Formats: sequence, structure tokens, C-alpha cells
Amino acid sequence: MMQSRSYVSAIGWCFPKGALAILPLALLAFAGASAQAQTATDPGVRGVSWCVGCPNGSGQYVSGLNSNQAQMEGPAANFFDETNIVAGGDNVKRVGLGPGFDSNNCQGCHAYPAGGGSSLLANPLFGVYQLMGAANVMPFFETPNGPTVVARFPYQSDMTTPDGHVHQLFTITGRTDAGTCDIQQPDFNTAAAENNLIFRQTTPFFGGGLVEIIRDSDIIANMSANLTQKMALGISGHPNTNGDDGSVTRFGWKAQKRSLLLFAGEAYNVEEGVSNEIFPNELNETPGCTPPFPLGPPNGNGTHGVPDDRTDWAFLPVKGYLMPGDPERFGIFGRFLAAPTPSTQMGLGSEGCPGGNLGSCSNGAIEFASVGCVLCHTATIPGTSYTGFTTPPSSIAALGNQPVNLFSDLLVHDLGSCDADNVTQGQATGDQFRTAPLWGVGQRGFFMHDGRTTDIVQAIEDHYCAASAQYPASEANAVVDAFNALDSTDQQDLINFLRSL
Amino acid sequence: MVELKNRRVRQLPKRASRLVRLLALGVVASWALTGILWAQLGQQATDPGVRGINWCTTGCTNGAGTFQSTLTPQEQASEPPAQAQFVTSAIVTDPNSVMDTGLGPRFNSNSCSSCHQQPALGGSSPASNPLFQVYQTDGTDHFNNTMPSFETQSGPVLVPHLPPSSGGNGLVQQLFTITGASSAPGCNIQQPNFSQETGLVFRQPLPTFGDGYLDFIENRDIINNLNSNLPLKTSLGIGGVASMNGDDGSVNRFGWKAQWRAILPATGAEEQVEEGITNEQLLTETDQTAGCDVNPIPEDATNYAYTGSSMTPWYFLADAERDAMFVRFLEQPTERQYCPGGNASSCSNGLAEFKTIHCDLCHTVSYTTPPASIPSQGHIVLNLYSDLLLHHMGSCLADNITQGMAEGDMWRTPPLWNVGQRIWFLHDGRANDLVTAIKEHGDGFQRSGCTGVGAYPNSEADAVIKAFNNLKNVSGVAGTAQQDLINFLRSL
Repeated sequence: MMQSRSYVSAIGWCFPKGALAILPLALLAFAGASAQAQTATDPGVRGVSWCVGCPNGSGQYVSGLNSNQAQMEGPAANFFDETNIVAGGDNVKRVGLGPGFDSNNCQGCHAYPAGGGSSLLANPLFGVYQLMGAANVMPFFETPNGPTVVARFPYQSDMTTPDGHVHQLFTITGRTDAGTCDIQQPDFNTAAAENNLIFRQTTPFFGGGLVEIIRDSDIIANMSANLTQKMALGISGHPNTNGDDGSVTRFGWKAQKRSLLLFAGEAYNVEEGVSNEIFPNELNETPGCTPPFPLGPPNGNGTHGVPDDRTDWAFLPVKGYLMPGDPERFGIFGRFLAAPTPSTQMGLGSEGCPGGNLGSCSNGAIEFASVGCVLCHTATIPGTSYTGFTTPPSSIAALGNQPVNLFSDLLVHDLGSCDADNVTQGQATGDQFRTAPLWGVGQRGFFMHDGRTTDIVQAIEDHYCAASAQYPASEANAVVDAFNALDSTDQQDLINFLRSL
Repeated sequence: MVELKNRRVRQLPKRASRLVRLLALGVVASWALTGILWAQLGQQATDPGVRGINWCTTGCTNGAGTFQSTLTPQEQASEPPAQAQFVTSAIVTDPNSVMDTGLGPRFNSNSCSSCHQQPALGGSSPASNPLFQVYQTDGTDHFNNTMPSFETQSGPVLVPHLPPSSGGNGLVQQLFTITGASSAPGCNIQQPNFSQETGLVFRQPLPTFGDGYLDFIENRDIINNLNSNLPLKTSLGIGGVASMNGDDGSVNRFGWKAQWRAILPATGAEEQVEEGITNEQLLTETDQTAGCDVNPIPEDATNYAYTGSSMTPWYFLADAERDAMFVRFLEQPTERQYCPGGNASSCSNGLAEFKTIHCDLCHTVSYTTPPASIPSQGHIVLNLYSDLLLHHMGSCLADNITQGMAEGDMWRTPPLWNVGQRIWFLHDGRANDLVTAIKEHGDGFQRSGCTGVGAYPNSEADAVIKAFNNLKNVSGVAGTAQQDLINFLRSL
């Protein structure tokens, strides 16, 4: 088992255990694993490498909200951008950072190309980790121009018992608002040396309010659609499910979360160290590192205890929308974010497709379907029989009866040992990941769960993996082969299409 | 033997024979006397019954169900809207309002208070099964439901699960449907055919008093308690594990199998699973049959109509949030205010016996809350009588359902605070006699129908139950160890 475990390095390639010394050789060997080599090139990030200056088509609120809902846009966006500190400051809702944390606000990691998005092209953690005197050192795997990744240890120190949890990158030790707290960062170097360190980058949640309400029955029906074709290609997939009601969970790299609210509760506590009404305790309860913390500057806000964030009665009876805790307000923000708009649908003319040829993108969509990408990356593809999801009627009327062209079946699939992180979450085992939604992929800087590549062509190749002793072959192998078998024009069109999303 | 005995008697002289007869009579008499005394001392204690119903019927306060008295005025002001939410009965749909709608398509009951009301709002299953008031109507619509045989008028509210070992998925099998409702004319789904299902397991409602404090007991305190008294625990066969949350590794602590971390996720799940009301945590109906999902989803949502200035800003919060607020502010029950028989020393002695035989190794007497962001909730000693850990309870209590780290025979140590006012005991309400409930903790007590399902280790409580059985007792008489222990429990 151990021999087949893979390690993902800071620069993001997949290697057998013990092969770190021969990285270049392993890279070459892996790149040649698929049937044929690709010839297409990635035109790069929309808005950066091409279509520079074009509107990004992301980060807006959904249209059609009623006036009460629309009033939430300002407060919710302001909240999403707010920076948390340990204690003090001018706003009681902005305290509670740490004792361990990955960043100090939502916007830090979900920022590209707009609030609610994915990892910035320049890693924002370099502006966070030593704020206010924090004594942190930057872990070796975070790089200034790399993705924001969080770290997990698949196993506990005995290297047998599953761990799988996030090990927060930084601590509040040394910060001027952290009193006498004195705890150390995790020993990532040792974890890496023991081949017990994996990474995940941030997922965007544009269109999250739509994804949230897709019917389970539609997800299951889609899983059962085109079965003959799927079976011929080695594609199966299954839902991850919630332990309470059996519903299909759908957020996160392993589809481990059912809803934005539950996702937010975890993110606050795990990523920022802000305990809340869904996760009420600090993850590190070392004396001196848990609240209460002093008031800070005059009129500053101390913290009385846990949870750091909670329903706030202080705003009664004036502003009801300030009463909920941060996860609820995150939920409002995420719920109202519209789906990303493909550049081909933004009235940009030929500029809306890389290379200035709209026909390339429309053909690319057809090729996307023909090679079988669409069998997992579910979407409506004009000119084909493939159709995507539609939301049911919603109590937020603007979200109801809407097409959801997210390019995902919201199922988890085996991707083989090359992508495996050896972490099980719910029904998603160590090599299984949710089909990552591709809407907005044209504006992403990093790909795959650990941000291992900036090249979307390489990302496709990274879907390929032969069977190992521990894991089956990737379900994507036949599709990657089909992609590689495309002629160079069709292959490039497919890539251009993806970058237009 | 008889022949030999008779022959020997015949061989004795007359005087000696009389002496032998006297001696024999003496022996028989002493045996009989000893037997009577032994029978009396060996009798098990008797359960004085439910406080407020069977004893202490007048002049006793509930000691449960009140809001915490030290809250700020603003927090206290939340009580009416929070309580109103807790007692609100949901209906299937209302074209003029989205509030309090969304019952079904499948459901167990139509309000929180229906199942959580003994001895006060937030509590456990009441004496009269409330489902009989619910199963065929929500007050507006009629439903075609029949009552499953395992629900009885004077029994506990029971929610069925069908474990994987019996072909199910382990999840709640909702009892009723909205089929027949005029507001859902296209809905025609059927109740599960419970009479044909073998292997059903059941759970009764848990009380929520004091849960607002349990919400934030520090993980390290729970783990430190797990690791305390280890030699003694080991010698008694007691282990226990914390139910670690898959997201952040914190200790889950709510529900029969400690499957929830906090009140809010629990209220979200309960609203969806027990009432069929989709909400912002669990957004899709458990049954999505066409014609049955009559409302847009989620049915319970943030009420944006209360966004601006309003004298009722609580209603901005979704129902699940206000339910959580209600539970969060419920005070912990008071204990040993009254003792059965009016003999306070019996209950204080019972607490000593409770510790002597080591019930307290799992039913940990108390935790203390850390500093709290609601300051009045911090530094409170909670006499909950639970370690909040999972323990193997053997095959006779197993339900063969795994939830998180809780295996098929594992249960969270249920807090005993307020056990004096509970009517039914154990996860499936199988006993209404506290003494029986204690004995059911041990594998040695083979209840009728216990088939020893699955291959499970012995109950971790075996040694403690043996010690309980060995406690000296004269039935119903205070001042004897076993009865005092029972009296103490009923004083909680």
C-alpha cells in the first residue's frame, strides 16, 4: 500500500513514494503515460493572457432578486471582504482569528477573478502570515506565485490511523493582539519527509446558490444517463451523501458538504480559526491561545469566549441582517453570486474566444462532448444531445427554474493513484474527487485539487492514471486518450472552448 | 439417597431420633428465615417513577424548561420568538405565506415541541404519544396515513431506522406522508410498509435542556476525561471513544450516537428529517416524487423581508436558526431539589453509591464551560452525568447502525440530568422502569427478544451493572444502597 502512495510536491507533480530524487525522470515518465502526446497549447488565463481588459463576467449577484434580497449585496460583500483579527479593532464581528489559521478573511483565498472565486495569481498568504508581529515562517510549499493551498495529513503519526484533517498553516503566536499565546506551526517538513502531506487549493463558488438546490433526483438521473457510453469508457461515479438525510452532498473537492451554510461553518473554523455556531470550539485549546483576549486599543473589541462568532443581539432591533453569524452571511453572499458568464456570451465578438475565432470555441464544445468529457463534466452542449441541470422552483425566485451549466455531474470518481490524496471524506475514498465544475475555468490560474499545474492542457493529462495496487485506474483514462487522439485543430478548439468558460 | 436416609433414621435410638428431628426443624427454620431475609435483601430496588407524575405531584417545580436567567435583556427578548418557533406546527403549504410551511412529503411530526415536551418544552417524549394527534392531519389538511404498530397511544414517540444489516440504509424511515392532502393533490406516495420490514430499530427523542452549554464544552476537557482513571476503567472493561468530527476533528456530542457537533446542524437535520422541511443546511426533499414537492426550496430560509429596520428582526433568521436559539438558551435542569420519600439523605447517599460502583466513570458527573462569547454561559458547572463519549453496549442494545465513529453497538453516554422526569429509557424507549434500564446496560440481562444481533464485544457496563446488582437492598426502603441510588437518579 505504501509503495503506491503518491506525493504531490510544491510544484505540483505526482510521484511514486520515494521518487523525489528523480523528479524530472518521473515527470517525463508520467507525461508519457497516456496513449499519445497532446499538441494543443493553453492560451492562458482569460483577462490576463488574452482578452485583456475584457469584463470578467464573474462575481455579480444573480439578476431578478427582489428589493429585500438585493439590499443584502452591500452588507454581504463587505462582510466577505472583512479581515479578522484576534481581538480589538472597531467591529465585534471581525474578531476571533486563530489560534491556528490559514488566512484571515474569505476574500483572501476566494478572490480570482472576483470575490467568491478561486486562488489569486499571486499568493495572498505572503501578506498575511506575519501580520501584527506573528512569528510564522512560510511553509515550503507556499510560493509567491503559486496557488493558495491548505495542508492535510492523510495519516496520524503512526502512519496507519487515518487523519485527513486540515493542519492549519499559521498560528497567532507573536501577534500583538494574541496575548501570551505560544504554540508552534505544524512540522510540515517532517510530514513531507514521511510522505504524509497533501494539499488542496481553494474552490470558487460562483453560482453556488444554483448548485445548492439542484435536485438529488436530477443528479441521480444524470448519473444513470448514457450508461452504455460511460461503461464503455470506464466511467461510473457515485454521489457522496449526507449522513443525516441521505441527500447528495456537493461542495468541496470531495463533495463533502451539502450546502453553503455548512461549508461556511467549517471554513470559518478551519481556515480562519473563527469558531462559530456550527463548530463552536477552537481547534487548538492550548491555555493562553483561546479567548478571552484583551480589548486591544481603546474602545476595541475583546473576545469573551467561544464561539468567536455567533448570532449577535447587539444590533437589535435595528438591522436584522447583522444578527446572523458569519457563516449565515457567507451563505447569503454565496447564494446570490451568479454563475460565471462564458466570454462567448458576453458580446465581445471574436475576442470572446482565444485566437479571435468564435468558431473554434463552438467546435471545441462539440469536441468536448465527442471525446466524452461531458459524461462527467455535465453541461448542455449546443448541437449535441447532452443537457445540463436545471434548478427546481426556489424560495428565492431568482434561483428557480434556471439552467445550471456548471460542467459537473457533482459525483465523485476514481482518478487513480496519481491524483489520490489518501483522504476519505464520506463516501469519497482516497483517490476519489468530485468532478470539478468547469464554469469559470477560463479564468482560473491553477488546476487540479492541489493546484499542481497552471496549464489546462497538462491538467487534462493529469486526469490519466494507470491502476495501482492501491487504487483502480482513473475513470478518465479513455477520455484522455480520446482527447490525445484528436487532431491538432480539434484539440486546440477544445482547449480554447474551455478557456472561454 | 432416600432409602439410605430412611435406613439411617430407623437405626437411631428414640431419644436421639427426637433430637435429630429438633435439630432438623431448627435447620429448616433457620434456612427459611435466612431465605426470607436473603430474598428481601436480594430484591431489586423499585423505581419510584416519574417525578411530577408518580411522586412529588404537587408543590414541586419542574426545574427544567426555563431560559437561562442571566442572559442580557436583548438575549432574553429572543425567548418569545424563539419559543414560538419551537412550538409552531408546520403545514404542507400556504399560498399566502412561506413561514411555517413545508411539512413533508414525508415526516414524523409537525413541530419540535410535539416530541420534545416532557416535562417542559425542549424535553423528551410525553406520556401520551403526540403522533396520534398528527398522523392524519396538520390542522389544515387530511392525510391518508395509518399508524405503525410500534407506535402506541401511551408509548414513547419512536422513529424507525432500517439498518444495512436488514437491507436498509440506516437513515430515518419517516413514518408518514402528506398523501391525501388537498394542498398536494398530485402526491400519492405510500408510507413504508413497516409491517413487512424485519429488523427495524428505533430511537426516541432526546431532551435538549442545557444543550446550549454542551455546545461549547472544550474538546480537550472531554479528551482529558476520557484519559482519566484509566487503570480503573480498564479493570472494569470501560473504554470509550470520542466521536470526532470529519471536518475539524472536534468532538461531536449531540444525538444518540454523538453524530452532531453543534445545536445548529442538529436543528437543521431535525427540521428536514423529522418534519420534512427543507432548509439552508439540507435543501432537497428526502422524497422528490413529482406532485409531492409542492413548495419551492428551501422551504425554510432567511427571511429577507426583515432586512431593514424592524421591531421583529428575529424573523430575519430562518426557522432552524430560531429553533437553535431556543435550545441554546434553555437552562440546565436542577438536581436533588426533591428526593423520593422526602428523604434527602437517601439521594445524597445514592450519589455516593453511584460513584462507588463507578457509574460515574461514563456518566461523568460534571464538566465546566470555558469562557463564553455569551458571557453568562461561561464558567458554568454542568452536572450532566455524561462523558459525551461513545461506548460499546453489547449486542442486546446494538442497532447495527454506524454513524460517524459510532459503530453498530455504540452509544453516547446519555446525559442523566433530568432523568427523574423521563418516562422512557434507552435509545428505543424499551423500558419505563429505571431499574430495568440500568440492568439493560449489561449483557447479562437478556431481555425478551434479544437475539444478540451482530458480533459485538461485551457491554462496557457489565462490571458496573454487576456491582449494582450486588448492592444491598430492601425493596423500596430508603437507606439501602440500591434504592438510594435509584432515588438519587429520580431526583435529577
